[in-house]
Amino acid sequence: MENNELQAATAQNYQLEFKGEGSAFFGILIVNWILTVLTLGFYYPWARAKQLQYTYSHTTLNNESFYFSGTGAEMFKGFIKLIGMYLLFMVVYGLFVSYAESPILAVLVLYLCIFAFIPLIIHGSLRYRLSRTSYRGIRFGYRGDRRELMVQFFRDVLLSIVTLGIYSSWLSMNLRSYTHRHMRYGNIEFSNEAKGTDYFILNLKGGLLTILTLGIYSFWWQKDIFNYYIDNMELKQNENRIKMHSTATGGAFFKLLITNFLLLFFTFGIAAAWVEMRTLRFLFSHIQMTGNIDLSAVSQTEAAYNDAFGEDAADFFNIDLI
Amino acid sequence: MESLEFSAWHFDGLTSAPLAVKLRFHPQQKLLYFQVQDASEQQWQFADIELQDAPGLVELRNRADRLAFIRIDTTKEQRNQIHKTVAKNNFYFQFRQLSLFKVILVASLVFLGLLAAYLWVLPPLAERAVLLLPTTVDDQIGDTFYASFVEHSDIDQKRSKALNAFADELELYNKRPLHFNVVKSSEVNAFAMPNGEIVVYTGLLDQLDNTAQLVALLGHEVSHVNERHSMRLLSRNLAGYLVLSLVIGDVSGFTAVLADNAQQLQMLSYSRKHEEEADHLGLKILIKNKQNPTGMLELFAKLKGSSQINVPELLSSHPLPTSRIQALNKKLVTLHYRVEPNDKLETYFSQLKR
Repeated sequence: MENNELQAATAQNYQLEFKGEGSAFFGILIVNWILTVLTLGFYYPWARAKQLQYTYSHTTLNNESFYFSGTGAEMFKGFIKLIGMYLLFMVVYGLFVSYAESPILAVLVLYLCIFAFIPLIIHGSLRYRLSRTSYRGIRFGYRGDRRELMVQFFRDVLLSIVTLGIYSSWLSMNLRSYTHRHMRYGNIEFSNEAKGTDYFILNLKGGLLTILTLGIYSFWWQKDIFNYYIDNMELKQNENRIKMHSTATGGAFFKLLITNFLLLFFTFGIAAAWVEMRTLRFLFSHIQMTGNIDLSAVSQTEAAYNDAFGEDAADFFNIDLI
Repeated sequence: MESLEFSAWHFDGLTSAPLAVKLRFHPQQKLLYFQVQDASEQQWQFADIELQDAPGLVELRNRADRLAFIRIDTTKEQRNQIHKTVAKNNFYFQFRQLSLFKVILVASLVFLGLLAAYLWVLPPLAERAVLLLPTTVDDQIGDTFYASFVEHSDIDQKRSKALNAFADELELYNKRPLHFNVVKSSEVNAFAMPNGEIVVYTGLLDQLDNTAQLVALLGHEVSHVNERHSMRLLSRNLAGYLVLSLVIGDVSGFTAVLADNAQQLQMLSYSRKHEEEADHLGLKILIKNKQNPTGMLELFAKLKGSSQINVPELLSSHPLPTSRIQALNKKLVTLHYRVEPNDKLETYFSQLKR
């Protein structure tokens, strides 16, 4: 460790890999599925923990695996809170339906309530998920400010409504860049330079060409989005950096997605486990990292955070974060 | 069993730097010893260790703090050896190692247990729950039903009045006000609503020969009200739906079933247990009012006789009137009773018969 400073200056090698196997993952999924059905759904949080533990532990960087230390019990507590919130929503909704003049108002209020929770869910989910993720014994973490995120989110939503959806490109990039800028791995900070303008042009081009090519361009559009996400990510530790770079091509995306579709179609969905594994393998194998941060010289800085409510809620509302 | 030794890497959870460690698994003491360079030796109990396999390596974590871990680069044989050593004293680990078959077996048992509870524990519990409900609930449900029933029925006001007068002369052990209705219909039937409204069809009334038979009929129906049998039945029927609708998350379905059941109050068939209970309590009422208890048997004979043509609902619920008659016969032998003529009852009865 004495030669840290010397190492820091020199370029390092990074190899990101996903080593999950379809058959092993299928075993996990099938047991999870059976137990969830047999326990009338109560096993679900444990099932989810098992799944996350598997995918994390089979993701490696320089042959060291990631670790998800979240437990079913933690997520079960979040799950109970979520059910409580859901019931509360339903009660509020019920009251509005019974007493409000028009049911449209009630539906509007319900959606507004759910909507108001989105930034809270994103915040809570990131805090929990990242604090439960570790690599080489060092925790990830999220240091975003809930109120800042809410202000930004609602401002962007308002602008998106006013501009009839055009601003949504900026909304998603602002969200991405805010959350990434507040992510940490020990004393390594993340940053993200994604811009709404670039993303808007990318989507405009992708959308138009997809229509013109009768859908064929959609794979290249998908590639552009993925590459834009990855290429804008950076890690920094003091003066040192790691740049992320995607090597995915439209052709490769085409092959991946078509094969996935055929696999699912001809096995009536049974191949979902294999599809998920090969997709992750594909994505991770196309992320290149270059830079000079020494992965053996990261110190622990993030505290544990055990409230899984956001995690469960994000799962419930199908919000995909990372 | 001798101790296992390995060279491994320790990630201490303070920095990401791997530190070389010497590991020693001690099966007798059920302890794992490890020493990082010059630091003092640490130990983990086997019972606290969590193992995680990855291609070519095993990670060991202490459940007290799962951030720090020890990584052992192993061959497959070494890995199995470590698993065997640690698992012997690690319940958690053994649980995780359970075969798919065992997991499914246990889960199936749990499911069967839940199913059994749903089928056999829930209904009696639901019946008990009725005792906690205020009787105003009985009234509400009964009133709703009565309102729609009256609309579609031809009530004989004169004979209803006589029947109410007849009932007023009786001790019926009722805890709530009762009201009797005579409905013009060829049906050989009578039934009670949870709010104390009792309906007797002229088809049945016309077949009765004496006051004892009528007291037996009223006693039987009143006992259904007194014991809240129809409420218990409703609760029993609904509890299953309630649980199911909670599981499925479809509460509107539950409301539909509730409405459906309340509408078909008349069609509800009491359980055999409830019918027998009403028979015995009816008998008690007969004796209390100094009527001949054989009136109950005569009533049954009439119902049974007519059932050849048209199954009366009073009996249709449980096609075992013979067993109920036998049970009553048995009971009758053991009873002490005294029969006294009652002029008032006779007068009202003759008014009823016209």
